[in-house]
Amino acid sequence: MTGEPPVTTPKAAYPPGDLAIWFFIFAELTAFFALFVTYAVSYRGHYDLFATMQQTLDPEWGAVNTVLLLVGSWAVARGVVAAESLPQQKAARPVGAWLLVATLCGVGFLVSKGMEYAAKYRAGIDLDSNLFYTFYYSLTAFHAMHVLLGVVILTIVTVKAARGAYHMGATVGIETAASYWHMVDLVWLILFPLLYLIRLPA
Amino acid sequence: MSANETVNRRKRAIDFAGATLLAITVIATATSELGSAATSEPTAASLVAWVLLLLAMVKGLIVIDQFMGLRWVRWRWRGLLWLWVVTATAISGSVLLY
Repeated sequence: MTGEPPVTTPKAAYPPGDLAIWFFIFAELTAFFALFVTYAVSYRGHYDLFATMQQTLDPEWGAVNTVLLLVGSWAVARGVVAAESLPQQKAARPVGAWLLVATLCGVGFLVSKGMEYAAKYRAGIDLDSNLFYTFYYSLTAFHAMHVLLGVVILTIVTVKAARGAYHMGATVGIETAASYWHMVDLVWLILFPLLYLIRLPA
Repeated sequence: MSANETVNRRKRAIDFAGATLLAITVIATATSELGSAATSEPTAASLVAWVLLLLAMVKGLIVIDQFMGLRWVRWRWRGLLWLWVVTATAISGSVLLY
């Protein structure tokens, strides 16, 4: 016996969150998918350039970005579980805290990405430097815009959660935000190895 | 299984998934420093990075599967979504690997 009152978790509704967000997620994933394929085709077409330029990226920055998004995703997932399993009078503080961690991770990602861009800019590398860096800036900036939108969404749901809006039986809003955030995280988990680590076969 | 146990199992699953992805990220980055830029042989970093990419795909499929669980969606919509997943995976996989 743990002393905790038994909780009754309502059976999960499908899909999690609002249905519209799933159409949005599929549309965004399709756009990123097209960009990944274009990148891979260009990599093959300019193999020496891409393989050489890839070595000039800093995997440490990419790893910092990845860790921040993974921790953010983890916090969002735990926030959703807390919201789904706790009654209204107990949910506000833990759900708000988990979402705050996720929001701060998103902000941290944007700051670290800005620092990475600044370092590249100081080294004289910009969008026009070569085809590889055109892809690098386009892909990462397009993704960063999604992170920025995610931070705005997370900030809104964090404030609402702190006011007790999400709890057992009232989880559509937090699930919608979490679904979007997982998409942002998923895209980066593909971008990071693709851009920074993997040398495609010749 | 009680609701409390179900919640605890979900928490453990989330923690495990997060820790696994973090560990692979750190290992892939650390080993990237060991790889040789002068050869086209697959380096340890590259191999671990492929694992990270594979895990990302698994995570993506799990997220998408949440949508596939939509019981009231008509079968042809489900078929269309699965067609999207299979086509995207096949095209990107073939472009990346061959």
